[in-house]
Amino acid sequence: MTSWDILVVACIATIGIYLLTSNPSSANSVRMVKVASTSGFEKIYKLEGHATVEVEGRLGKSVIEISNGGARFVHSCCPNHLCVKRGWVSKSGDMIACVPNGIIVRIIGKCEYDGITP
Amino acid sequence: MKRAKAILPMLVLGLLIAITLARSKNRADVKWSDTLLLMDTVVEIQLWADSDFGFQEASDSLLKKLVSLEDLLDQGRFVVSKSNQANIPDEVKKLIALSDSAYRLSRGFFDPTIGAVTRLWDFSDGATPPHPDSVRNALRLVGMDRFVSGQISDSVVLDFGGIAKGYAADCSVDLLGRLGCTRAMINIGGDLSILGSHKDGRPWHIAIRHPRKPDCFIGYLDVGQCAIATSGDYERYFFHQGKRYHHIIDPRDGMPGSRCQSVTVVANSAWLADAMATALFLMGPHEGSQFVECLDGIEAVFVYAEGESVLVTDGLRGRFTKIDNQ
Repeated sequence: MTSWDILVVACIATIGIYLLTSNPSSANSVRMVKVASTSGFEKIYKLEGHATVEVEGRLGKSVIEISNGGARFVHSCCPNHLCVKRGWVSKSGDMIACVPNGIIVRIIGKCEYDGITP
Repeated sequence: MKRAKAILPMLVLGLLIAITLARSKNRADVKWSDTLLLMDTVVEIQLWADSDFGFQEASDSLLKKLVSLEDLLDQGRFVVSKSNQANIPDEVKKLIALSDSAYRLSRGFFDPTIGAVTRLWDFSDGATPPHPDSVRNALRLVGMDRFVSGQISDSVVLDFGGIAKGYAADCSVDLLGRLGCTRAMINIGGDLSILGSHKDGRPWHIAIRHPRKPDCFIGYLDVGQCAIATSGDYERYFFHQGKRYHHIIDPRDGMPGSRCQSVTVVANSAWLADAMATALFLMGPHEGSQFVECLDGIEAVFVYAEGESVLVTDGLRGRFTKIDNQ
């Protein structure tokens, strides 16, 4: 094997590794909203357009509005309504949880951050 | 033709090398995540490990640990009375010992005996502040020094709300480390415990929520293995007669602190970050930053009581980036 051959093999291996390990799927870059409950409900919605989602939780019904690229709780039967007070969520990786009613609304997609506090 | 024949083996060899290396890379970089509702908050688990790592077993062990901790506390509180003081569970004893350390370190700004006062505060819709007489009476049962030395004869309500989530995050990361996991992030209600370095070799980027714009971040931190916790006046609160009342109660007067909107603490352990976030929130940016400068291994980002200004302690300079949300 000449040094030229080694160079060709190395180039092919590099391109191959890139193609095999990179994730060209656009799924990560498109933001969606996932609504899930501890009772087993789980559904993913597009953030474009407008939708109203009613989810039955541990305590009763919660209503989630999806609009203008974001989502929010508009009604919840929980006692303190922290989920409703939280307002809109639109950034990938961010979420609103109604802990008493067992419902999580999470924006999914490519996220700039590894974690959020709090 | 001859040249094409010569290239073919090289192509095959190159692709074989690529597939082998790519498979070994993927094998070591499997991400596993789960979200649970426990301890009155959201628990997010993220692990990266070899594909043969027992992800489900690790998650089950974590769940068991966190549920056992949750079962010990009632809304983050534990009442010590004459009837049970001889039989305090070991896990609660650990929390008491850590709380005592945080109490001493914070010069009393973090005080778990505040439980008699915090349980007077209700943050449900239409809530109002407790009557001053009730707060005054409850404050008689507050005082970690007196509790530890046995000077309080009545029942003492220990509120671990400012330390238990961090402690649980530490326990989770310890457990994962013992199981062989080398990279993980546990987020329990915003108290983060990070194990190992980021797989891309860069720092972990941790966003800090904007205290007044809930869909925005006020900045982000670049960190390595560490723990991070934030205390903010926007997590549980109500407005009464135009004033915000929130859940971070000052053990000196039984009222919510008002010197900051939020404080984010970076430390080596999450229980300490959690407790110090509460203490520094009550101290405020001026006193709190001076206090932090005297401590090793604790750094903080304060958001002032008004506006969007932040104060970053020396150890985080260059590691905190402010985000312009205008």
